[in-house]
Amino acid sequence: MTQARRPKSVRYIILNWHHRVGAIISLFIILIASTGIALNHTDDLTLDSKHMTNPLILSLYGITFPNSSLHFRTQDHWLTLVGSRLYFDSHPLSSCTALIGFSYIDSQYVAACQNQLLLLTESGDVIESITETQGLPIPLTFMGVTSDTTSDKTYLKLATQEGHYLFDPAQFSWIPLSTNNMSTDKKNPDNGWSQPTQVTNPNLEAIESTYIGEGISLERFLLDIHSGRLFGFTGVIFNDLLAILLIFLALSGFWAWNTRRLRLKRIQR
Amino acid sequence: MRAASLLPMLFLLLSFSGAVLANQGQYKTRDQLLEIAFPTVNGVPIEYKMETLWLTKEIKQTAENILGHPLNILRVRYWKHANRTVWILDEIGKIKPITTGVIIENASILSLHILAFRESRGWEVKYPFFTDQFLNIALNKKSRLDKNIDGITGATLSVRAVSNVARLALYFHTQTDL
Repeated sequence: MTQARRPKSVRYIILNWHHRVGAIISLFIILIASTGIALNHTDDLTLDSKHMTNPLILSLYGITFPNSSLHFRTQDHWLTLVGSRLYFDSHPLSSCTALIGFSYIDSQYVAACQNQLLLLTESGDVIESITETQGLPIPLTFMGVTSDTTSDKTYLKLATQEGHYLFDPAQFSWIPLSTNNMSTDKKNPDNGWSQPTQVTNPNLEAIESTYIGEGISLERFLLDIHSGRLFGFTGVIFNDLLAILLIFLALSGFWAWNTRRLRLKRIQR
Repeated sequence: MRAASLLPMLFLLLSFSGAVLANQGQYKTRDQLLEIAFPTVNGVPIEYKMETLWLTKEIKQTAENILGHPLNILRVRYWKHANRTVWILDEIGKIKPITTGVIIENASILSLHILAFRESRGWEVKYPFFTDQFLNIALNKKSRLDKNIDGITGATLSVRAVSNVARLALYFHTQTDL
């Protein structure tokens, strides 16, 4: 003889699901809560200046080393532009919109980007950065070195669409020139204009490792885990689902506590 | 939803992005700042000269303490006349640098100007209601500003960057041969 099963109460069903849902999402909640705590202290933990280097993580972002790069060579040193990042040999310098030239003058190297000149030591340390705010005529189109035969002094020559200038790094002065005084054939290296080389920087492998390492900050990575964006739209929907389950846990927990409290009160009466 | 009903929303969106873009850019040039710092008196221009401050290990260490990150340059240009110096310094707010000009006389700030702002948020720091707070401010013994600077909601990082530049310029001023 089979015994008829007692129908399960609503309370039993809800509490049963409360336990199951709690067990399933607990790990994810810990993950989201801990990333949230870390993100709340981004500045203190300097999360934006730490970078992810794990190839698996970087592959999730589709970060790859650009196929093309621009190389300049002066004396025994290389200046390379990869994407929008500039490297002295393999040492990262700063971002650069368009690399114009690389010259050596007065025991220092000069890297010219479209909107900026970087004066560098022989070991690649930045002496100073000169921008439009300091009076640099922009956008630069070409840079080179020229000598004044009368004073035996060497100058940087800069070309913009508006005109040509001589720049003396020691005096920090720009002297506008008429194009008559300047060799206009900038493709001819004999005219002193800096030109890119077709030879590739031998430090490219080291640059690649640095470039990829700078790709994603720890802050970005944690933000994307927190929001689920690390796994694209699916991850976002998954996190939405977790949020809904968390709301269910809160409501079912409150409901269970309240009904138990009311039942105890009824029994006591 | 009819396409026509989207037009006001589109207009608002474009106006907003236009306003954001209009607030980015260069507000003052170096020459304009130098004219403010060294004005013409009775038709005679004040003669000022440009100097270089080389950053020794100690100066770089203090600069790092002020900014909260290393200063990766070896020298800084400034302009001076008598006890007055002018500094043009870049500091990153969130992602892009804010170019700030600081005019200092006798170890306190005469005026502070935002020369260029490149980020999409926080450009309110260019207005006098914010920059005027720096007038007559000096450094205390702990290399901090001797008066409190009121922040701007939504521009916390820009406010911090400009305040740090003010501290740095005041510190650099003390390292000159004045």
